Amino acid sequence: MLGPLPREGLMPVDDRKGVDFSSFLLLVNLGITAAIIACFLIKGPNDYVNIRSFYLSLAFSAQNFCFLFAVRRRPDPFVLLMVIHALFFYELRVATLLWSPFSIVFVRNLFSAADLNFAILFVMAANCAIFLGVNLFPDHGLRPLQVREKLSVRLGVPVMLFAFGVLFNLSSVATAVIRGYASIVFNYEYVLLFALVIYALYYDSLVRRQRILIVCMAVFFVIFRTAIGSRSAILTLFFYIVCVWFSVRGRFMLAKKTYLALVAAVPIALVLFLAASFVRAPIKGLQFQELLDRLGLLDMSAEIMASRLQYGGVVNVAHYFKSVIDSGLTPGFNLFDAPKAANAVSAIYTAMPGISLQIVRDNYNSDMMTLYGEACALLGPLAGWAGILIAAFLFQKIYRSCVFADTFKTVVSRTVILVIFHTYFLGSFGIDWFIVDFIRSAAPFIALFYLFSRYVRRTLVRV
Amino acid sequence: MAIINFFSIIWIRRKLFFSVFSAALIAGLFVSILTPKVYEVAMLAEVRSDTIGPFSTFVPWTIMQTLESGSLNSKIIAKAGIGVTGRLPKLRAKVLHNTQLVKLYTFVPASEIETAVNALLAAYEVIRDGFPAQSDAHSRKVSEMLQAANRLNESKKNIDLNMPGGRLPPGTETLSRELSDWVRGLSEMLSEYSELLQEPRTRYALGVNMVSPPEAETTPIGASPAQTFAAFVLLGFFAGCAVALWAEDRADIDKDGKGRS
Repeated sequence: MLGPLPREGLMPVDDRKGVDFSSFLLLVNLGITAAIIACFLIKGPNDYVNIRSFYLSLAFSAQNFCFLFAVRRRPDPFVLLMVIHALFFYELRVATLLWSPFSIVFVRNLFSAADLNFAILFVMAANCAIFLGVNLFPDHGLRPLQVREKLSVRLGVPVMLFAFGVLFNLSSVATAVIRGYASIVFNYEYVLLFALVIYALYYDSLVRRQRILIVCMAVFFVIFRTAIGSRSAILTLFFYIVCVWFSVRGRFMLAKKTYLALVAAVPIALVLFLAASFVRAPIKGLQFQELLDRLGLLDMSAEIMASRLQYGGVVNVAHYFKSVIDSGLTPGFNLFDAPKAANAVSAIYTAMPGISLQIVRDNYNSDMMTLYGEACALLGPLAGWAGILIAAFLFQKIYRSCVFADTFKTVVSRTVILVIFHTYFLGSFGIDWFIVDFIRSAAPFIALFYLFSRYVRRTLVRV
Repeated sequence: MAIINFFSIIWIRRKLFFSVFSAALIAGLFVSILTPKVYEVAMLAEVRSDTIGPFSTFVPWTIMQTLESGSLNSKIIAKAGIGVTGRLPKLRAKVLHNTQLVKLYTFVPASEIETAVNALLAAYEVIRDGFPAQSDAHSRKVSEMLQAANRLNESKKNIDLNMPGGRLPPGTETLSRELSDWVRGLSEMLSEYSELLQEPRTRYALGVNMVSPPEAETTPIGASPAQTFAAFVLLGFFAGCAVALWAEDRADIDKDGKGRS
């Protein structure tokens, strides 16, 4: 049974004081559903959202309710991450499209409400596939891994590496080439991820100033990323925290006050987004529509699906193979002159003559395809659905197989699986993009993995 | 497998599941039968402003937002001759990307197509009459002012380049007075220019041309009865599952005798 099993086995007793994140999301889903109904009643249908889209989005909302109740009974990180994406980047987008029927993505090619309806249906089917794929396992729950005994934790090296990473990313310190290599070797995002794992895993062993230091790293990460024009810094941090928390505790529960803080952080995130947009292009000024465009992963999925025949020229296995060779395996020279698919998509919808690495360099733009768009364009709707099911099954299989004698290694490897699921699977920029990033990051990551597992936590404190 | 447990809960709560599912099916049946077929009625207008620039999309966007705000509705109703019993359909507007073409459209059932056509024609006339009309003389004046301002700007650049720090070379003091007068003249002209730019007939003066008259699509748009019903089937299935899981959750909490967040 789903019911009786997990509750006792899944979480430490003190975690019961918190409120499960899925309960919070149930309220969010209720709010978004109300927003969709209100927007439809007030504004009526438009070119992109018709009455069928409205009914389908209600069905989508019911599906999310169903998944949220299921994940509340039996916590599962993959389903939770999927529902977070579905709520904020897909379901909410229907409401904003009803309110303001414009999307910078929809004007690339011909696009109609029928295309959006197909996309909503495919997303619903794909989410069912993910739910099915990750639940094809014995129901023995996920045990919390938090280390309760007192240990001595060292943070000198992580802080130093984080500082190096940030320093090498400054354009005043290093040239673009050096920055490129340094960002691979001294990747401050990985270091932050390790630091968050240390925080969650050894919370009881950390002294006060160590906890403050890690919080400062997180805050600095957000400020620095925003200052260099990244618009999703606070969101990246939030997803890292969800992944780490799930890996350590087996479920994501927060105190009621933290939820209030989360709600309060939404306006801050909006301000940071607009600030980062302004840093990127001061001449354009602050534009709220950009926020709607950026939040609208539904737009990107739907547009890729609607024009999949056009994009088929770059979203195919042969092109992926060539782009992986050129971008990941041939430093300093190219064999096929094939850019990564996410970079080449813009060359198609802007009708540039030919696609080459030079054209991409001159007009750099990367378009997120998302899991749904890519699966549909690469394999077609039916095979794409099956592919998502198999991939979800494999994610869960690998996640549950990541068990080391050292708890730190177990937690880090599980966190990385979740980060990959969120970053490269749900928010896919193409399989070739993932493979290239994997090739570049594997060695430095493994080095950090072993370095930190040996360095961070050692001697038992003798009392 | 966890998925079997999921379905076993649905099975345990099958009465609840089927009652929600059936309710959705009945609702879907009613909605798909009772919802009339809807047709799109649309017209295309070109909106341009010579004073702002022939390729600016500012004016079409202004038109779109004004129409969608509903502030012209009373005028449109009066002009279209929609009586007290009649209903003005929700008028929408869309600027075609990177053009000055505005699509005015609405979705109505077959019985209201004529009203919609009249409403769109009325909207077109209200826009044409409500905004200041373009006048060749005024446009010419703005254009001349713009050219003069550009020339002055160029002159200022030259002065800045030739007289670093704003100091005149020795022996050219007599030029100073002339320059002062000239600069005064410049500032007066620039001030007149900026006032001119603020005038409504500069900012909002526009010319509207009807590219294609209001016309109804021959095939209905939106959901067919089958599609509507299918959407309700999905809605019923997931809502049924959600309610079954919720009920099981509540039962567990009652069994435990303590609340769970």
